[in-house]
This record gives sequence, C-alpha cells and structure tokens, in this order.
Amino acid sequence: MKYIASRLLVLPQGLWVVYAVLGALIGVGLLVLAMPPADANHPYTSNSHVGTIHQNDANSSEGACTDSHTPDLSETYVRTRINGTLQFDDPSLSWDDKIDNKINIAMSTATCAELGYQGALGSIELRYRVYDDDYRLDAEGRVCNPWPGSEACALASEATYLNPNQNHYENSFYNMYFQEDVIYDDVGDNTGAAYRAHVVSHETGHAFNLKDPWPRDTECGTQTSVMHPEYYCRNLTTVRYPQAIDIDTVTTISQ
Amino acid sequence: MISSRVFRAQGVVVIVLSLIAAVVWSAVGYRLSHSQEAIYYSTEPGFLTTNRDHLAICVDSTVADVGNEELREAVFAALERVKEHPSFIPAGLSQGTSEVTIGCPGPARATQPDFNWELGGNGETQVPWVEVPSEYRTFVYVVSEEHLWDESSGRVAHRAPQEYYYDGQVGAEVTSAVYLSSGDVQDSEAIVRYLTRGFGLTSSEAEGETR
Repeated sequence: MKYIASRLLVLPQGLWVVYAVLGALIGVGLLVLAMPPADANHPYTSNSHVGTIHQNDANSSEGACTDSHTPDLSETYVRTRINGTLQFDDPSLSWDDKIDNKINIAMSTATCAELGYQGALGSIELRYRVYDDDYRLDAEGRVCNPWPGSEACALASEATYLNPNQNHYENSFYNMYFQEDVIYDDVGDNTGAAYRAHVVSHETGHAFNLKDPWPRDTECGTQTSVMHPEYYCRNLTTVRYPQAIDIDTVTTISQ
Repeated sequence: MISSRVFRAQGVVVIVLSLIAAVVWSAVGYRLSHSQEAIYYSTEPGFLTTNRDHLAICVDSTVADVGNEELREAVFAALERVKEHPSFIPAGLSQGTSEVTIGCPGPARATQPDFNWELGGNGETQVPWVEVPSEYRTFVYVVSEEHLWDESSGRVAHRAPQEYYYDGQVGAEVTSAVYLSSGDVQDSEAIVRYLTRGFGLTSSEAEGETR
C-alpha cells in the first residue's frame, strides 16, 4: 500500500499535466464559489432611506403623519399608538432622538389626508396608514403584495438623486401600511402593545435604510435586530425597539 | 502486478479529481445562472433595478389630439435638455444609450377609476407590484386634463409611481410615470420639468406638493 501511495506521486509526465489541470479547475472553482456574488445585494449598500437622516439641524426632523382607513380605529387612536412607539412609550429605546439627533420624529396632529389637502404632505417623510384587515392587507395580498397575508410593509417611494448635498439617491417618503390588528390594543398572538412596537419600529427601520434579511435564516447573523424578528430568523428573538446593531448601522449610513 | 495496481490507483485519482471538479463547476454554473436571474433594487446607477443598463423611456398618448410619434419626438427633444441637469451624469443616467420608445407595457394608472394621487398614486385598492420590472425607468402618458386633477390636494399632478418591486429586502418604487396634458406636449419647458421629476432629479418637497 505504502508503495502504491508513493508511486502515485511518481507519475508519467502526461499524468502530471492531468493532475495539474484538474487541481487548477477545482481550485479556481472553489475560489469562485468563495467570492461574494457579483450582484449580491449586501445589506445597506443600496441607498433606500429618507434624506433627513443626514441632518441634525432643527429644520430637518422626520415629518410623520398617520391615516386611519378603517372604521374600527379613530384617527386619534391610530396616531396616539404609533406616535407612542416612535416617541413616548420608551424614549430611551425608540427611534426618536437617536443617531446624534439626526432622527428627530415630528408627528403631525393633522392626518396624512389633511396634509395632502393642505399641500403640506411633501415635507412628510414617514406616512403611517392603517387599514381594515379585510380590505387592504388580506390574504390576496393587495397593498403589501408580494407579501400575501402580511401584517405590514414599507414602500420606498420617489427615489431622488440629491446633488450636491449627498450625491446619492434617497427616498422622498415612505408609505407604511399596517393591518388594524397590529395597531389595536389587544392581547394574544401577534397583537398587543409589544408586538405593535416591534412592527412599527421594524417598518420605520426600512425608512432608515435597514432591510429584511434575505435569504431568510441564512443572512440573520447572531445579533438581535429589530429587522431580524423570529418570523425571518428562527435563531433570534423578536424585539420591540431598534437594537445597538440597528442604531450603529443607521449611524454609519447617516454620515 | 504492482505497476498495474499503481496504474489503476492513478486512474482512480484522476476519476475522483474529475468528479470533484465537475461538482465544483456545476455549483459555479448554478450560482452564476441564479445570480443572473436575480433582480435587485439599486440606485447605482439610477435606473433603480439591476435589469436595466441604460435610460429607457416609453411614451403613450391616450388622447386623440396627440399622436404617439409627435409625443415621442417631443419627449426625445426634452430628454436632450434634461441631460444638461447637473445631477444627470452623477446619478448614472448617462450610462448606455438613452432611448424613447412608443408603447408602454402597463396602463396609464391615473386614468383608472380607483386611482388616488394622495397615496402617492398608490390607488385605493392596489399598489402596482410587478414580478419583473420593465426595462423603462419612466413611462410618459398624455391624458385628459380631468385625469391630472388631484382631488386630495386640489391641484394638478404630474408624477406617480408606476411599478413597485420587492427584491427580498426592499420594497420600492422602481418605475415612475409622468403624466402630461395635450397642452404640455406643446410646452417644451413643461416636459423638461416633469421629466426631470420623473427621473428623480428633483423631489416633491423641492417642488412643493405638486406631484
């Protein structure tokens, strides 16, 4: 056996060439596989955020508004709950007043619809809209299609190239859609204040350039993130508010 | 006897290495074919999706008094002036050869009964999701004056999302629509202004709330 093994290395000249070619093929192939895909969408590389996160002056707060499109929840009810998550329920943990004050959410007392009529919607970056579960976000997945049956989604709208301010694209506003059950003060599965805080914080994170993990489970990492809840990442827990990794990432993007 | 065993062993090694190489390169082929299929939201350059490599515009007139060729020529002339915008080249829109084509692969949504300008043109019942973004960054339609009227803001509107796409991480407007009246087609300044908006070179806030 030892003789055969040693003889495998004592090869006719032609066989060395075959070994070399095959070895090179394997090596190059493994190198190609080890490289990141050429068009991979690495998290946070594509600009998809509201432009105000670059500025911390008093005039560049993130304007926000809410709209209730369901008879079950009043405008005040919707605005109070969403604004509670964004600013008041736990100010030390919420998105507001973070990133060196570059995130400074200013919730309008007027609804998005009213602001539209007043011609003032153009300066509102964060637009939260709540719908009757059966009407807008049902299993046929109308508004949040292609997430059939999903409870909420955020849509980056109006990509605008800002030059000379930032020299990159930003989104003028985000429309965020929610099923009424997510906003309602109920208890049980996927309802209640804690889950509302998570969903509102998660969708708002999209407006600050944070993305869903894709592919699910394999791109989750090990750090807890408001963008990586259990329904995307089985190895992580669902949290109510942005975590250190989320704040750090937005801080980097906001430079 | 021994040399034939050595010979056979060398043959086995060659076969095993060949099999490993075949497996590795099959994996490479699978990955390359899948990465070519995947389409991502991207702003670098500003065509917004990775299945676009140049600035393509489609035009469609829905009114009788404006012909499609007339519209195409007017938009083409305006495009030449939009190219002088200071952000046009930095935004990456100058890559490739720009083109204006007659016929858009989607409806003039502003003419549909459930259309709603107030929701960013998302409509009351449907966001215009697509599984594959069209090749056109911007659709240009000519519609009647009544369809330009934004009831929610009490003024005329000219821009709306045309296609939304979800790439697994981001759900975003990847195609914009520019709506013109018949009168706008005769007004080159107007077309330049609305096209500039339709390419994302100016924002809603910069222009007040004129959509």
